[in-house]
Amino acid sequence: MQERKDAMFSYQFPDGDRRLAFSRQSSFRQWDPPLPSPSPSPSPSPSPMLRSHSFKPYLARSDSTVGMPLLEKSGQKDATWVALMLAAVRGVANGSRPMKRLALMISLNVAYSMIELLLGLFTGRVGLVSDAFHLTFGCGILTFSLFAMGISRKKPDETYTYGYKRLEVLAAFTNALFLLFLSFSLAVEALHAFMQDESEHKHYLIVSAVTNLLVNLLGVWFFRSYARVNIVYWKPEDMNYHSVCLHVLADSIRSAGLILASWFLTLGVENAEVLCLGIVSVAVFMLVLPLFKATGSILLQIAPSNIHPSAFNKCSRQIASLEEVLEVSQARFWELVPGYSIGSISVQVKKGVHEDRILQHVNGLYNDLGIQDLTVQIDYK
Amino acid sequence: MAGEVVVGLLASSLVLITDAGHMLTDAAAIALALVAARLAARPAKGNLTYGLRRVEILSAQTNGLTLWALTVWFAYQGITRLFDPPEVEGWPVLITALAGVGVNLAATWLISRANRTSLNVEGAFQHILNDLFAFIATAIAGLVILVWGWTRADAVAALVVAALMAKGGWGLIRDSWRIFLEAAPRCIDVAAIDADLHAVGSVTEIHDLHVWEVTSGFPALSAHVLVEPGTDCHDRREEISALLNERYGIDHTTLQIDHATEPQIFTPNELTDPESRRP
Repeated sequence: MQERKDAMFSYQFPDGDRRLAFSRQSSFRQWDPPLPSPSPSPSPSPSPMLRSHSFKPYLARSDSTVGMPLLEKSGQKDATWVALMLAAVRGVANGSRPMKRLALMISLNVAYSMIELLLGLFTGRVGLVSDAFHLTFGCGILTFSLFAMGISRKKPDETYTYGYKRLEVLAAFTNALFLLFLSFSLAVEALHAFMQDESEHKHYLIVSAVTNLLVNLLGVWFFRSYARVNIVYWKPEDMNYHSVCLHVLADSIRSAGLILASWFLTLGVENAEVLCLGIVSVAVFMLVLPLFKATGSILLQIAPSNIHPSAFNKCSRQIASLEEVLEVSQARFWELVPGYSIGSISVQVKKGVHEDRILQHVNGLYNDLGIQDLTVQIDYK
Repeated sequence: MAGEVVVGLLASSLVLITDAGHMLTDAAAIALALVAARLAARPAKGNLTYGLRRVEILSAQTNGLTLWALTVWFAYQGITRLFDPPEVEGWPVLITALAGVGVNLAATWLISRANRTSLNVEGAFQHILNDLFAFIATAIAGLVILVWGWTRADAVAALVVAALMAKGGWGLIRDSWRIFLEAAPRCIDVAAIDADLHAVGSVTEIHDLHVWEVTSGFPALSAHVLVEPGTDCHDRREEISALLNERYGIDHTTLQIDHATEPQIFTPNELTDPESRRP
């Protein structure tokens, strides 16, 4: 017993063992079944002691949003379609409130577009059919956002070692792309109306526009806390919700624009369609640009936006100024998702130096900046 | 290409218009790929710690999405023309298509010799390849219209082209999204890496093994390795990074090597309740 106590405390850090404080999940493979139940009898044989992985490390950041330590076999390979659908429905039913609201919105939209499509086909009105297609396409993108919300809670596995949270950022980016495309196509439509100079009164489209507006306003209400252009993103869900909100907002602006245009036409205003479509196009573009830039910069591995680039240089210089350190190189930083930054750095030190102290120092510096996950490679010259 | 649009309009052939529009987007796709490659070659600077390498993946994704958007539009047009086929002349379709086949065959052959591990180049190649298929389909449609006078062949060819574009787009999008999601490259088996690293002498534990790609053909790895106390960290690191380089082709690795403390076993009870910890 005595030698075990010595062994436990033979190697101490000056300020407490901060290594595990920064330590994340163990290698995904290591989650064997846990040790048998505790017994007060003396220590087991040495060899299992080396693989001390079968429980959560005491100070592990196991409540981080990324990096859950358990490996799960991700789904059955031969799940039938029915099983998948049921799993999806169950996922939404157990999901968070925004998920449920989004699912409701999507179902409303899908139902509405089905009705519109059928009506359009029966009455032979092309405008209704094309509007239905456009709506369905938008629904598809929203469904992808919903899917991202559901999947993002999955634990990291062999292929996706960082987990699935990035999917929310990707969904937000796709929404932003769709909105940019929408803005562009509205501009083309405005140009088309300008060149053709024919003002078509599509009365049936007004009814459809009004209904569309109401459904989308409901969506805006659901996600009203994200109904702004510039938002600080604290977690990945923020981006996804923001993108959904902008999507429905843009759709409602478009419907409102169409309604306004036809009203102006009845008032006899010339080129009302061009004007309204043009304004809507510009509005949607301005609306979506910050989101597009933010999601794009995460996907492009740009350094975390909440940290000024000069701060990285400052940290780098601080480390290089330590007397044991010869060189700091390959300092790379990126954001996995908003709120979780990752970095890697290579430090060259003189021989025979106490590298744990340097490790601690470097970790501390960057942790203060906000880089949660830092891998430090220490080289000797 | 401009000649194709004119001839297409004249022959009122959907397929030729399909192909002309397709070629315009192809030219745009290749231009985008070139711009992305130039940007990606720029060195890292400021807060772009990896440079702009990911721009290539963004351009590949854009190519994929454009192919899909075109698929939707041309499928829609094809279906409407299927139900209501306009009058189409066979000869102009056939001749222009054969010319197109010749041009595209040359272009395809040229690009196929370029470095196709880059997703960017693959995106441009997919566009040109689909173009070639489209022209072949057009030629067949023209032949059918000439020989049998079946004007719906035009719409059918357009639908076939749309299907091919969908498949090409899907490959690009799937691969670029894998990279955006920081997934391990398909050719690298992370479980095998884990096993190999554990097999290295005096390694006790591996934390946080992450393998991902900065851009296609550029994998990166980071891991936190615990070694037995008293081991030379530097030697271990060199051994491990050499192993990773030779066996898996990963040369961008960051390995944090640490000495494990004396192993200690805590049962879960002992962890949370200090009173029950063994002396």
